[in-house]
Amino acid sequence: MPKRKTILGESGSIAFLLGNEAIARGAIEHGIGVAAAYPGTPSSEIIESLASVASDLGIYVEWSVNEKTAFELAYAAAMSGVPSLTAMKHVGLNVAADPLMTSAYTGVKAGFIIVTADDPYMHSSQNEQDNRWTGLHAYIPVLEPANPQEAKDLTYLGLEYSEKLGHPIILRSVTRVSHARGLVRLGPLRPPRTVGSFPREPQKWAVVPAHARKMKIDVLRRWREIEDVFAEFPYNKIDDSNSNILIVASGIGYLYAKDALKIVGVKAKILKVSTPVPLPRKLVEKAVNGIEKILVVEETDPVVEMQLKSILFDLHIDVEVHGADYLGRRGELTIDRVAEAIAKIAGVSWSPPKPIEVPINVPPRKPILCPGCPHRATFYALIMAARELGVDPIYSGDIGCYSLGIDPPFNAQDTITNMGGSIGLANGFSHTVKNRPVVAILGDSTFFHAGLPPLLNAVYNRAPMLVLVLDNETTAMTGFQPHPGTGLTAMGGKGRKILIEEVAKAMGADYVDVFDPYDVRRAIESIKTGLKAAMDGGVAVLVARRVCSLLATRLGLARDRYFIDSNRCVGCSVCTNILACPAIVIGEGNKPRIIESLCSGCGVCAQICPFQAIAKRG
Amino acid sequence: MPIPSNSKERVKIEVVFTGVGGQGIITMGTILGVACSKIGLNIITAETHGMSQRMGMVDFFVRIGDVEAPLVPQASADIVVSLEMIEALRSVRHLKRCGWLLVADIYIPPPYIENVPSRKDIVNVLERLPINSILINVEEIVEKLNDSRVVNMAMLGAFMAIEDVSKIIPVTLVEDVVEERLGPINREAFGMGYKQAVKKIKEGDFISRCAKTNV
Ligand code: SF4
Ligand code: SF4
Repeated sequence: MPKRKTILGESGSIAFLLGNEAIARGAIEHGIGVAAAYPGTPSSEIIESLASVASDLGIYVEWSVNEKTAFELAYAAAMSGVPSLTAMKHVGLNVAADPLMTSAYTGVKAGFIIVTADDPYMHSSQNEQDNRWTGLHAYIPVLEPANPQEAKDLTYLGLEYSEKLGHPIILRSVTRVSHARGLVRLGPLRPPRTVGSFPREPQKWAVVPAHARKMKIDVLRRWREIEDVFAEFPYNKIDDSNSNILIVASGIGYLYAKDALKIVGVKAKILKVSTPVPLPRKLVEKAVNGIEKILVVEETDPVVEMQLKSILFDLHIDVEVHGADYLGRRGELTIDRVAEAIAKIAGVSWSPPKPIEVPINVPPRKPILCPGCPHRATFYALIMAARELGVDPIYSGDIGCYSLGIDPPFNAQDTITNMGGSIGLANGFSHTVKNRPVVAILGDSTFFHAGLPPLLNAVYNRAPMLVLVLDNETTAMTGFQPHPGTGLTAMGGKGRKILIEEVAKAMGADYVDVFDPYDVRRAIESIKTGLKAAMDGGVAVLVARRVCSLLATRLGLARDRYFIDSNRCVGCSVCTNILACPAIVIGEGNKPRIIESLCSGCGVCAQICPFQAIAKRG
Repeated sequence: MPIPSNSKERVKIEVVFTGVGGQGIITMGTILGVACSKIGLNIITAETHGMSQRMGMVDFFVRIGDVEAPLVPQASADIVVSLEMIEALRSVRHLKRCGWLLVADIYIPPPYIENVPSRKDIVNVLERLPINSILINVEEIVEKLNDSRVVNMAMLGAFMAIEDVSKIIPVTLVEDVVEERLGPINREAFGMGYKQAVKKIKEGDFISRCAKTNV
């Protein structure tokens, strides 16, 4: 798809854009000069889109090693008068929480927008946190778009307001906005502002206690000002209808409410909220006039509902308020879910249509490690190495494709909590669990993101462990973004390539080795040596290096195809049950067969077949 | 040009595209979206990203016309297009009674799972459901064009054979977008899928356990 052309489309034209592309477009229309992020679903396409047009516009865009670094880069740009954007998934904002909290105190000179792409229902995440709380916590206002058009418009306006108020602004998207596609009317492009200045002014930017105390007073004053400014925010509106029921709908909740009202056939007044934090008092006052019952529709937590109840209490307005009690506070909203709540509050009977029943068991289809995935080969070698040494390690896992090693046949992820948590938790286990070695398993991008401090800690404080870095030379999980190990930059330039093994050596790891997971015997031996080093009280770092098989296929590197010689195969099922490559399926006579169109030619199955029944074609 | 919201007020079509990660399902929605943008017809789609790309299941929701929210409510889709036979069974839950199910004859059993229904089981089950289902011989198209990556466009062509769709989105418009974005082979696959489906509908060569079949 010609993304570049679409993102730079002409003013006034209508483009079919992904929500995240629309966010990128909004930032470009404002004229941002800098953008930085760490990839994470569902946020990644924002920076991808910006990076694809960065050279056309002469702006600076980067994939940073983690969200905190990205945040700080964009924050500094805005301090120096260059409007900027940083983007991350919801849990990424936790990583950036430290500078985030302080950015409200110092404020900014140019527009600074912080995009958080929340993931209700956890399609691709470890928790469901609603980052509108973070805005409330940090004194940073939150804008919440409902669809791709608003994603663009609110990004643009967010930057404008941020600059006018001298304050950072959070744009909270959710999966169904970031990954929805819709028609977007494009606006004019302003030339980017890329050069700033930074006169010495420590009382404004240095938060030593004496300065910070003054700043806090200012933050509180600004917060009240922001509430009033937001009461007039153009995307907040009251859809009037002759009804004593009011629906207060934040972000995407507005769309569900509109469709659901039609389906149930109920009339209600709607207060559309695009500024859930802080919820403007004046707007609420206007909307509740003559209302008897209120339903708050918002995705995930009752952030608006709680503020609304508090405002109503202060105003001595006594109306019935429902929200999380009718809609629940987990998972995504659906039209049906909202329709049921509307029916309930309106006192009409309605239930969603029942699906047609299928009188057969439909098998589940879970994501799996791809054919030829180097991680599969590494997991195989890991399991074999542990077996050959007769040990049962604790597998301290991390965030990435290799999380799939949790499933059979490997069952080799005992914990998965957060980026870098593999080495972080291993630091704890190695001091408390004496009878099992600890193996921390993480990817290359994750290593650079959050693996460095806990590794340094392990070496320094003597926490014996084997750190296994599954280096597939890309950030595969989120769509092949580069990182310091790849030697590439977001804008397609050449970066300085950083080798994981060199970093580990410099940090003082006791044993460091690199192997190719496609060389099975060598991989097993290397892991055995690493495990022994860990059991002897050392910190071993192994790098299993081989490019992601999906990427290899895309780059045309995967050319070989393998087949199984049915005369030699005895049906021992080592290839299907212990390696479990999805390109190998059981055919007639219970013997395995390779689906050659799926095979990426890694040759691992040929090495592990005890009967030499698998060979390269041609 | 403003996005019209009133002129096409009565139109509402809800569609689910489904299949296995890597089959190019999102591209189908993108082609439709670009076509709709050219005639100013409202369209909103929602897709599942992330883990599902690792050979997991993919659902892609498309809502056209007088709609606001991105997700198709349960048992409300007018049409489901499945690029894989087992996923066709799973996706029946999206379909309303007497809706249309278009299924590619591509069969990808999920690995290491027992009791996976066979092709024949699937066809047998479809015959018993209160829906209209058309099996499209995509394998034949793939073979003729000697390209396994055209399954998605062949099925998009088949989808355009449903009259409720082609009367609001011109087939030739979509065809042009396909060629512009993906090249002539894909245009050919699209045309072949379209023609095959039109023929099957005209000749009654589809499974229907539905009293009112209005094509
Ligand atoms: S490992 Fe070799 S002998 Fe065993 S089932 Fe697979 S191909 Fe046949
Ligand atoms: S060579 Fe063997 S293990 Fe590798 S992708 Fe092909 S079938 Fe799978």
